[in-house]
Amino acid sequence: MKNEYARLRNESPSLARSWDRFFFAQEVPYGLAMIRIILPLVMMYDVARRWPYARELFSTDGATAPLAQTFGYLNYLPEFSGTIAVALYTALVFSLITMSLGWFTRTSTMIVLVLYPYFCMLDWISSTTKYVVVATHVILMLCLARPGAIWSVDAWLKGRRERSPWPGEARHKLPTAAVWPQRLIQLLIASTYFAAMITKLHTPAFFSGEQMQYWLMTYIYYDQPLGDYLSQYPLVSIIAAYATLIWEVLFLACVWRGRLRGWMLGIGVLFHLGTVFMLGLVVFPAIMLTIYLSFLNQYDVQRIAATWRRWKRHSPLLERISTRISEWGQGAALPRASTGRRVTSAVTFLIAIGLFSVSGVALEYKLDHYGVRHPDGLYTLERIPEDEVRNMLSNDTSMREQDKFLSFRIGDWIVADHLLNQRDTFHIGELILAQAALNPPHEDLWVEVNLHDSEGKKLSHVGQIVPREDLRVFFNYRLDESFEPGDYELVLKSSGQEISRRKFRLLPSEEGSQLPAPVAN
Amino acid sequence: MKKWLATAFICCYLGTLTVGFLAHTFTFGVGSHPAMYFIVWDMFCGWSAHSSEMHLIAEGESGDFYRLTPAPWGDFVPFATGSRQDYDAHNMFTGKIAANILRHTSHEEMLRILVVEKSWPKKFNVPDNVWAQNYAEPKDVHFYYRVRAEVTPDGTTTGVRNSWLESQVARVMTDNPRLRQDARSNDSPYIVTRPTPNQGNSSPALPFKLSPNAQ
Repeated sequence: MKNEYARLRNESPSLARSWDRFFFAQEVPYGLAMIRIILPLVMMYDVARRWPYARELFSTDGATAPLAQTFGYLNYLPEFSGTIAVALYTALVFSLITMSLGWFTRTSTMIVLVLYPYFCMLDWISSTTKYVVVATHVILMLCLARPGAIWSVDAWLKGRRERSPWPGEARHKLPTAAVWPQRLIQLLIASTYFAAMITKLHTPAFFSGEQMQYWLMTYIYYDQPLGDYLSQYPLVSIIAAYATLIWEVLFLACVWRGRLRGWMLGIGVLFHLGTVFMLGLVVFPAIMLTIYLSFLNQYDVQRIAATWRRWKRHSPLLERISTRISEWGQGAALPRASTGRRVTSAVTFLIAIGLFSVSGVALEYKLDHYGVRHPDGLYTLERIPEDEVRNMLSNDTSMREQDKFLSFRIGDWIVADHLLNQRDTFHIGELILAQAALNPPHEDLWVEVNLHDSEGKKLSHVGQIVPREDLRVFFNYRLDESFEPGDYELVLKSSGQEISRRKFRLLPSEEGSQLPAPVAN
Repeated sequence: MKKWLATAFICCYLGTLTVGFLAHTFTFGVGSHPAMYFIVWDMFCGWSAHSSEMHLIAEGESGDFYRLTPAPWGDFVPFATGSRQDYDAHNMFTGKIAANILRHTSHEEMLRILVVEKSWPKKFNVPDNVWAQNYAEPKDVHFYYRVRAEVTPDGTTTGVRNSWLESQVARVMTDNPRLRQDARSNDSPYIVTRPTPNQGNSSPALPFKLSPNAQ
């Protein structure tokens, strides 16, 4: 390895030398091997869920929604009959499995590279996503690398080693390869973040918190337990927005070496885990975290392996498990590579993929997606009750007044144009801030926040025009000594209609209460 | 030779990523070709304040209406809740989906298929416990309905309307007597135009253009 670097250093001028060192250094492709093993399993989550619907989503016997058509290109990709589509889709499932196992790795990866984007592009509305694009790029890189060089059935069958060694304890030298496919995956990740930063700069609502706030209330993905709560605290979204932007800019510059590399990747892991719990994303973060493995170089992996060996020495259980695995690897017959064996192996692969696909077709036939062979005949349609039809055809044109408002809160601290805290008790003389947040779109509105006593009697009213472009409006109240301590209400009204009301208790004044007190929420 | 091939590939790949990045940054040519989808990273585009879902219904010769979605064999749910047709924001494929369901079911002769959009403010999406913590009033959700498209039983779209949200934006924009008067007097009404297919990823909140005499 050192000789290789020295050769590159001596032979190349500086820029070319840097280029060579960056793209053509030789390493054991641990990172790519891990991606090759894990990525198909992540993709399988999506692919397997679509398999029962393959006929409907991807064939002429269903309702395809080609991506190309949204770009104005008709008949851009060929569409096949239901049976062929199911057979090909089943072959995709098989190839994902063999790709992960590393059996005929390059062939499997190439089949995935063709079939995965093909099927996804046939169903723009529910299968084409940006994580499909990311996965497709990575699969392309795996095709061009040596995807089955290590930790694969292929490597095992070739008899390149006597047993599966832990990284760094190889009895024989493990194969190395130029790192450029791994580097391109790293550059893909960095450029994706950089472009995502541009998208955010194109979206002003991202920095005012509204966009994230509405996304946190959007339930089109999976459960988002944190998002439910954070949707009520837009300030968190604003802080997260700026932090994300800074990280996305820095990632491209700082992820390559030194301590910053760890920081960039660590923040990235937290960021993607955050999208799971806040936004309900699952597959996208799983794919991104998987391809983060491309940042592991062989020295990282060897360091991790050394740590593992240390643990192993101190744990009899781990030692036993490890020994078992090693013995299993050694005990199995290792066939010698020969042309005849390669041909036999290829034929076996072809037969396996063929049988798997035919079995898939047979199973799909038995499942009878459309119920064509159902004993009672085709499915029938459900008649809709007249009331429901009338409702559905009502063609609502105006919006309820209360639906123009998102929230109404009272507190005393404003940060980044958002009410920071909510309170329901105030002292005489304290500032009371009432914030009404509005949903877009809304017309120019006359909004009032009126003060009522505990018996509902209106004590004062304040109103202001809220232009259509504004999404928040504030009202200040400072109740002086002329108000008795007791229960009061602030009532939000728009176009003369009551929208919401908030109760609060007014307490006697206390020393120093003339200044807004920093009260926690 | 192999190294030169690899170098050429690296240059082509990085060049392609750069093209996608520049196209995205300057919003130029983003919708020019399906391949652009694979090099433009414009995820996270925009979210509106209202949720919506699509209902496909068919009117039979008897005058009765039938539910096409959820399909009798079960809708495909790509993620957690929404059905496939809910993600077709511009109703490009809902007619095709409806026709497919008709083709595979037993029913009376159908006259037409209607695509009905159901919308509601997203604030009602929060779980009840979160609502109780943050809202004093009861959770009184109201659903707004709007017929988005009319389709023949063979899947041919015969009429399309903008979304409920777009119609609200148009209503807000024209909620101005002077603007309405100007529009009438100049005989050049402002018409909300639908987004082109190439803007498929644009924000649902801002997918319209106002242009005089737009077709």
